[in-house]
Amino acid sequence: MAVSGVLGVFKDLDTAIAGVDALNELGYTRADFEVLTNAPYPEGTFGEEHGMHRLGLFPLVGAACGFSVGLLITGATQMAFPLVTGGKPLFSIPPMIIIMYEGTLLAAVIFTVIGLLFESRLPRLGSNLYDPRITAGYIGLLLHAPAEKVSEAAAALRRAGAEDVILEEQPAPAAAKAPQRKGASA
Amino acid sequence: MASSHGTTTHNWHRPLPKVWDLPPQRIVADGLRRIREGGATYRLLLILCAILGVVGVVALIAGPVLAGWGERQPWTYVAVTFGFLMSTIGSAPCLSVATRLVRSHWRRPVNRLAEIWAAGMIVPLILFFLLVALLPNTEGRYSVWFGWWGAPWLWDSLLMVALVVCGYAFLYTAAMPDMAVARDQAGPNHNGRFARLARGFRGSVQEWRTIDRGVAYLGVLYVLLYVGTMTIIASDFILSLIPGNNSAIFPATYTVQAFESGIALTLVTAGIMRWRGGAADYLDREQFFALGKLQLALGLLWFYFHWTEFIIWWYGRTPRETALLKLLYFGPYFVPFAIAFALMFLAPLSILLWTRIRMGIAGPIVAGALVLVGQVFEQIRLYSASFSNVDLRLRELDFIPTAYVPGVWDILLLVGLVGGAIGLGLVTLKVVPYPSIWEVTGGLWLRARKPFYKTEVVVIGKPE
Repeated sequence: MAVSGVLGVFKDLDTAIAGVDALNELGYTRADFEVLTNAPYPEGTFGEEHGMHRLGLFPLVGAACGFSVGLLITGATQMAFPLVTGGKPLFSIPPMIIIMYEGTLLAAVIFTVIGLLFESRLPRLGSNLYDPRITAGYIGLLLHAPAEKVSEAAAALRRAGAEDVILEEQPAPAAAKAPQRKGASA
Repeated sequence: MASSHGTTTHNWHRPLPKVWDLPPQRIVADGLRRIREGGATYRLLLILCAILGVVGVVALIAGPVLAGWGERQPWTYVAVTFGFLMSTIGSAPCLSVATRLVRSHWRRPVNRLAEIWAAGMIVPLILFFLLVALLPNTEGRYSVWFGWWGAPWLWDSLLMVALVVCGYAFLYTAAMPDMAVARDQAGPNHNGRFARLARGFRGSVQEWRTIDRGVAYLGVLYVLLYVGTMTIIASDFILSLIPGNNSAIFPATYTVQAFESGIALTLVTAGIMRWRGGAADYLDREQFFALGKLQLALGLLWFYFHWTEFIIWWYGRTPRETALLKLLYFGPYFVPFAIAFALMFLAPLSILLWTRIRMGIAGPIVAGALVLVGQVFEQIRLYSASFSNVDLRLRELDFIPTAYVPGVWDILLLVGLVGGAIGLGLVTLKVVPYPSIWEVTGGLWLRARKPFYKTEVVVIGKPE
């Protein structure tokens, strides 16, 4: 089934919420469309779930890896070169702490950056439907609907107060560097 | 103004901040103004900083680099510059992190000013690599490294590089949504550059969640790295280079006074942006009052930490402790210590103690500027003492080295490289919009003015 994109561009929050309601009335759930804004609204403003985010796992996993490497380096060094220093036991934790701390943080930073790249899904490889007015304060409702239902959705968005409704003209390009206004006004 | 109760409202204390009454379009326009056109003052400052940067590099080459890495003393003012930059531009982003974590609203127009200094961290990183080559191996002298292989060079370098990378990642992630605004709104001349930087950011809920958490995680990691790095710098470049100095509290003191300077730098930057940067609507009494309180608190902590170190040595009175007191407090570096004491503790205390001054704008800025000057003298005191030519294998100082008097190259180096780092911050203002469009706009929806009997209050929404 061919899927096409519809982008409703709304001037303010009231009309955008009306657009969300209109799409809900047509049977679309919150997962079927995206809300595009130039600033973050409080979670749930557009009816989205307070979703869990996996980004937190990345620094945790990174920290665990880095800590393990630090532990391994310092522990193995003490075992490989059994020199009694200052009368302390051969395997002493305090001297290991700085290097384990370094390893933990370094790996956590690297994993967080990787997590950011992964979780933000940037650069996007899918639909390029977008309108630059969104970064000027407009609100975009981007719906991916079956091709035969696109006109119905566009009409609903227009009735809800969309200032402009843009339809995807062709299948999404393979890769997109920067979003440009694409498509035709309905 | 008539309230809902039909009475007249008054602003008893001070006018409510303007920023929360601005329309979102105005915030976008203000954020992009500096990107579109810098203005004469901006250009002049940039040229001045570029000249200073060149002077600093020339002085660095003509002075310490030509003198070679055989002795530490010619590198004293490279270390002073490094320490000053680490304590100011390195520390400022920590303020942004702290205020984000406590979800304060006044911080929204301030954060970007603190974060932007991370852009200058390349300067202390370069200086670090020049200085770390001066450190001897840890054999036969006090250090925190317990003879680990690669210590201190490898482990110091790893921390420093991680800190700088994390700082840039933090700044970039926090600025990415605004770069998307610049991509679409700044005009055709800027479109390509910002399209690359914004990486196709559109502002979907998924992207906002990622930015919000990513900035928080990177920020926290930055602070953790910063504390660790400052501890190691204090230990390897100051403590272990002064025979007999095994102060347990000094690394914490060094870090705390850096936090004080980070706040001071943010205050002074905010003052300049308000005065000449067209940001008067964003940086109002609310911001200066809050920053002033933090400045006062950190000024008091400065004294507390120094006193704790001082009193142990003063009561101990062993030859080792007496020598350290002479070297660092009452001997050759008494003048820098006295100036640092006056400017980093007495000045913020005597200025910001008074609520009326703290609630103004000039008072906190003046206090911040004085703290920054005091920090220069504090770094001079510490690094001049630790970069003296003494045998590091001594268990304690058996003589007090004479004061290191800076030469012309030293002064040019300090002023020039600090100017160069400021220049990097200025250049970044052409790429990273100020104010932070997404954060200030996000704050608009969470604030509303409401009449409350005979006055008017701001109601703040806390959705989290």
